[in-house]
Amino acid sequence: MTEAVGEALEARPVSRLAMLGPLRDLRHHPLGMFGLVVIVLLVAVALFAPLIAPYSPTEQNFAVLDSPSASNLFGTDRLGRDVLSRVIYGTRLSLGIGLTAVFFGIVGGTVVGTVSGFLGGRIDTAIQRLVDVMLAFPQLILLMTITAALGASVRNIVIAISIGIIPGTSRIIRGAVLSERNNQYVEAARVMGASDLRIITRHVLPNVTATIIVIVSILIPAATLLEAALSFLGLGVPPPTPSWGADLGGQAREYFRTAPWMAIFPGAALSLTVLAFNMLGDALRDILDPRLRRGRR
Amino acid sequence: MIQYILRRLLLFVPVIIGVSILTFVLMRIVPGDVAAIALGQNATPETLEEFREANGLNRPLPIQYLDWLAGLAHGDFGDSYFHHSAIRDELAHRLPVTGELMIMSVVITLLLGIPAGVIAGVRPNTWSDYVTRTTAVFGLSIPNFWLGTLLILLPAIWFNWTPPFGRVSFFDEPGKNLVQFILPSLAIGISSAAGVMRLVRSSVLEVLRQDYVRTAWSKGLPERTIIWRHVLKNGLIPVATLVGLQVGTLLGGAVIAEQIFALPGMGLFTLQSILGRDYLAVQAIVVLAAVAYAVVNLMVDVVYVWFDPRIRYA
Amino acid sequence: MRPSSYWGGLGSRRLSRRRMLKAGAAAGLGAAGLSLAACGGEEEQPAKIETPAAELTPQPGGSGRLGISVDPGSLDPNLSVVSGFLSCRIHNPLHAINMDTQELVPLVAEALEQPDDTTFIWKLRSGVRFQNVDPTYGREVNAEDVVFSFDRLKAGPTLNDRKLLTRYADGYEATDDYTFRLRTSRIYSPTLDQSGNFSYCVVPREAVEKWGDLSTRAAGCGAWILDDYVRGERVRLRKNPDYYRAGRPFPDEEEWLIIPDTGSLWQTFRTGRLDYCNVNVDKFKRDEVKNDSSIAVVESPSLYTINCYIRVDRPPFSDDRVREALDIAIDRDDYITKLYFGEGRYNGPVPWPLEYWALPQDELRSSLKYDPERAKELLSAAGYGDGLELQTPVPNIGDCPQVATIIADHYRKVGVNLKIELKDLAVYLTQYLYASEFDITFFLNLPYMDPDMPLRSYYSQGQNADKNPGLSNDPEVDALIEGLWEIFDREERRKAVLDVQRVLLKKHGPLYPLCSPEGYVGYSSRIKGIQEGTGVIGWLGINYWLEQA
Repeated sequence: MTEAVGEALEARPVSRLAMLGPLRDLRHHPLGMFGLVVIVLLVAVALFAPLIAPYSPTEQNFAVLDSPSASNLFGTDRLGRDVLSRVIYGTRLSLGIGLTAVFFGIVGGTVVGTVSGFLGGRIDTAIQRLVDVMLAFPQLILLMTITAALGASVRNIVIAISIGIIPGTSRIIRGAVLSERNNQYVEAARVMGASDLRIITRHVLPNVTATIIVIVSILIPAATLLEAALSFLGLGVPPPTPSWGADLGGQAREYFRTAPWMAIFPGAALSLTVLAFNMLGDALRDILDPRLRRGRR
Repeated sequence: MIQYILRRLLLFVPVIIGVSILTFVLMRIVPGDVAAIALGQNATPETLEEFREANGLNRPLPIQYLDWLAGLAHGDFGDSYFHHSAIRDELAHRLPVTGELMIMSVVITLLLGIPAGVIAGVRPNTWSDYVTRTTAVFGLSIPNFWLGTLLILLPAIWFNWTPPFGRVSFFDEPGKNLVQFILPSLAIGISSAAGVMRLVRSSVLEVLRQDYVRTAWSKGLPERTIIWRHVLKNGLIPVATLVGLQVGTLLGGAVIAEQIFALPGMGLFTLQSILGRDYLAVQAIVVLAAVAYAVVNLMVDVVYVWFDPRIRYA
Repeated sequence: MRPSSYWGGLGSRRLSRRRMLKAGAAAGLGAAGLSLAACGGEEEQPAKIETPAAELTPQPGGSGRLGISVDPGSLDPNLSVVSGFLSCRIHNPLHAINMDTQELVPLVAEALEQPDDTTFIWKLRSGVRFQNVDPTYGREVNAEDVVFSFDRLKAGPTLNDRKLLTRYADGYEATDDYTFRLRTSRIYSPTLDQSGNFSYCVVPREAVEKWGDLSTRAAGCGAWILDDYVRGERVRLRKNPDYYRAGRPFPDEEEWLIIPDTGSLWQTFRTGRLDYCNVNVDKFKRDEVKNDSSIAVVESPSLYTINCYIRVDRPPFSDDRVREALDIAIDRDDYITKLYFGEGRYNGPVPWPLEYWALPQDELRSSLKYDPERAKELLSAAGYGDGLELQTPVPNIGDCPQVATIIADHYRKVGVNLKIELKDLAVYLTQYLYASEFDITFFLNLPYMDPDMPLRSYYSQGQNADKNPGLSNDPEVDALIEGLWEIFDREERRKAVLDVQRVLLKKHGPLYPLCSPEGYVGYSSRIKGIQEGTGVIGWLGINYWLEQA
C-alpha cells in the first residue's frame, strides 16, 4: 500500500481544475474508457446481484466439484455451491470493502494531513512523527494484528485497511496542503479575515482534489487486493460469505487438476476488477498530470 | 552529505522506539493469552500461572518493555514462548531467505520494468508504448498470490515439474537455490515491475522535455547517448523511491509466496507468531522490519544525490 | 491456508492400515490378488488386496523423502503433542498397544506384570541402548531413565495427556536397574493404553540436561537418529545401527520436508519428488492418480476428530428436547458427502477409527438418524417454534469453518439460524473454549489412542481440568465412566464401553458426535511394507523399506 501511495507522489495537483474536464478527456484514452465501463458494469453486478445470480451463493445443493454445465455455468465448488453465483456476490464484497476502506482511509488521511499541514508548528511535527512510526510499521503485520485482535469480519477488515491507508495518505495531502498554503489566494483570504476552516474548504481542498483522485485510483485496487490476500490466508471474511480471495485460497489449488474452475473464475474476476481500476487510474493520472498535459498536444 | 546521513540516522532512534512501543502495546491488547495457547486444553490454572511467572508475564508492562529494550541493545531478542529457543537464531535463519527473495524480486522488477518504461517513454503513443502499457496494467492486476499459484500449478501439470523443496543456501548449491527462488521472485517481481514501468515511462517523458535534453538532441547526439547519460539518471529517481517502498513491504513478508513455495522466511514466521501470540517474536520482527525500512529509505535518499547532484538537502 | 500449529495436524497422525486401495505398479507385488480400485465417481468398495508379503524380502538402504504439511514444532516426546509420528522414530516408550489386535507390544520393556489391580511392573530388555551420539554414546537404558522420563512428563508444562501420572499414579520407582514399578491410587484400566503412548517415551537425562529440551536436538533409544531439525524446513533422520531389533530400520535415511501449503505439497508429490505426502488422497485425487503407476494409495484414517460441543447448563441446550432436536437435525450423510466426498463414517462418542471400541456403523446410523421433522416438533414443543437464533465461535483451524458452514445449512432447514463467528485460534482458545463461552462450537480434538480419552469429554471433570467444555455434570455418566476403569479384560471392557456409549448417545450432549473421514495417504511405489501397524507401532518406522532400482 505504501508503495502504491508512493507512486502517487509522482502526480502533482493542478489548480482549479474543473471536474468535468478530465472526464471529457477520457475519450482520448481508450484503455481508460474500457476501465470505466468495466467498473460501471461491476458496480451494477454488485448492486443487482440478487437479480443476476442464478442461485444463492451459500446453498450447498449441487454435486460437489462439478464441471461447468448448463445449470452451473462456472461449475460447482468444494461444498457443492454454484461458482457463478459466488463470483457475482463476491463482487459486492470486493468492491464494497475496497471502496469503503478507501473512503474512510482517504477521509481520515485528508483530515490528518490537512490539520497537520495547515496548522504547522509543533502539532505538525508531532503528527508527522507518529506518521513516521506508522509508515515504518510493516503493513501486512498491522493488518494481521488488527484482524487477529478484533476478529475476522467485514467491518474489522475495513477498519484495518483504512488504518493502513491513513498515514501515507496524510503525508501526501499534507504535502499538497503545504504547497497550497502559501499561494496568493490563501494569503488574500487571510488578509480578508477568512477563518481557517473557510480557507481550508474553499481554497486548499479543491486544489488537492486532483491528488486525492489519483490516490483513490491507486488505493482502490490495492485495497481490493489486500482483502483478497487476507482472505486467501484465511484471515479475511468468515465463511460462508463469498469472497474471491477466500475462494482462491482454501482448497481450490489442491483440486486444481480436477476442478480448475474453482480457482480460475474468482481469480479472473479479481484480476479484471483490479485491471479496470488500474486502467482508469492510469488514464486519470495522465489527464490530471500537468506535465504530460503540456507535452501532449 | 555525511552530516545528512548522520542526522537521518539520529532520527531513526525515536522512530524505532515508537514502533517498538506500538508493537508492544498492540500485542498486549490483542486478546488471546500466550500461556493458554502454549499449554492448551490440558492447562490448569496452576500451570498457566507457572508459565506466566516463568516468562515474566506478570510484571508491569513498562518493566517488561524496558527489559526487552535492554535485551535489544545486546542483540538479544528473547526466547520464543513456544520453542524455548532464542528468537535471534530463528531470525538469523529466516532473514537470508526473505533477503534473497527480496533481492531477486527487486532485480526482476528492475530488469523488466526499466527497459519497458524507457521504451514506452521514448516512443510515446506508438504501438510499442501501448503494448507495453497494456502488458504493464495486466501485470499489475494479477494478484501476486494468484500468479504464484499458477507458477506452481502450471509447471506441475504441463511439465510434471515442481521446484525442488528443501532449502539449500546459495553458497552451497547455487543452481538448486536459484531454481527454488526464481518462481516466487517472479510472482512478486512481475507485479511490481508493472508499477516501475509506469513510473519510468512518465519520468522519461518528463525528462525528455527538459531543455538540456532538447539541447542535446539539437546538437545531434545519438539517441542512445541521450538516454544513457541524461534520461536514465534523472528518470530513475522516482524508481528509487518506489523500490525503497517496495522493499519495506517485502520485508514485512511476502507471506503468501513463502507459503506457496515453502520458503521458511520472515513472512511465514510473522504469520505464525501473530497467530500464536508469540509476543516477543512479533516484536522482534517488527523492529527489524522498521529498521530495514528506514535503512533502505536512507540508502534511497543517498542514491538521489548520486543521480542528481542538484538536489539540496536543506 | 489455515495456520498450522499443533492443532492443525490433520493427517499427520495416521493409523496405518493393512488395506491398500490402489497399488503402484511394482515388480514383485505380482498379479495375485491385486485389483486396482476403479475410481469412478460412484461409491465403490475399497478393493481387498492380498499383498503377497512373503514374496517380498526387505531391502536395506536408500533414502526416503517424505512430505508433511505441518511443522512438528518440537520433537520432544514428553513435552510436545504433535510430533508423535516423528518422536517415536527417535525415542521408544516401554511398550505400545497394537490398536488392531489390542495386543501389548513390548518395546523398551520386554515384559509387563500386573500382580494386582493397581500395580504394574515392567521388566526392561537388556541391551537396549541410547543412540551412539553425543551425549549418550550408546549407554544402556535402565529403569532410572524411565523414572526420569515419567517425572519429566508429569512436571510438564505440556499438552500431552498425562493424567495417569498427575491424577491416578500413586508413585513409581525403579526397583532395580531393569525393573520399573508404577502404582495407581485407584483401579485405572486405561493405564496400559495411556502409558503406551508416545508421550511416555524414555529419554536420557544427560541429553535433557545438556540441551534443555529435546525439541530440536535429541538422543534417544529409537530406531532413527536425529541428524537435524530445521524448523519450517525439514527433519533429517538416519538409521540407528545399534537398534535392539537388529537389521532395522531398513532404509539408511529419511528426509521429512515441511511444505505448509497442501496444494503445493500435493503437486510436489505428484511430480515424483516425494515418496509420501500426508495430504488426504480423496476420491477426486485418486481419480487423478489412477493411471499413474508410480503412486500407491493406502487407507489410513486420521485420529483427529472434529467435535461439536454444546453448553448444557443453560438454555437453550439445558432443555432435553432442544439437545435432541439439534442432534438429529444434523444431516450426517450430507456432512460426509460435503466434507469428505462421501468417504466418511459416523462417529459415536468413541470415533470410528478406534475400531475396536467404536459402536457399529449401522447402530450409529439408526441412533443418529437424520430427522428434521421430529427436530422441528421438538423445537416447537420447547418453545422455539418460531425459530432459534444461535451464535457459534469457530476457530480458524483445519476443517472447522467448513464444518460449521455445513451444519449451519442443516440447521437453517429446521428454523435455527446459526451465525458463524470466525475467531483466530489464540483468541478462540482463551476466550471461548476454555472459558466455555459458547452455546455451541466446533473444535478439533487431540488424537485419541484409547477410549477413555474421548469419553472424558462427557465426564464432569473433563480431560484434566475440573470441567468439560460443555459444563456438563451428570453423576450417572460419571459413574458409568468410572466404572469402565475397573475392567481390565479387553473384551469385557469393550462391551462395557459400547454400552456406556449407548447411554451417552441418548443424552444428546455435551457433545454431538459428527463423522470422521476414511483417510487415505499416498506413497510412491518405491515404498514397500507400508502396512506398518496402527498408532505408535506404525510410527516407529521399523517395518518399511525402499525398493532399490
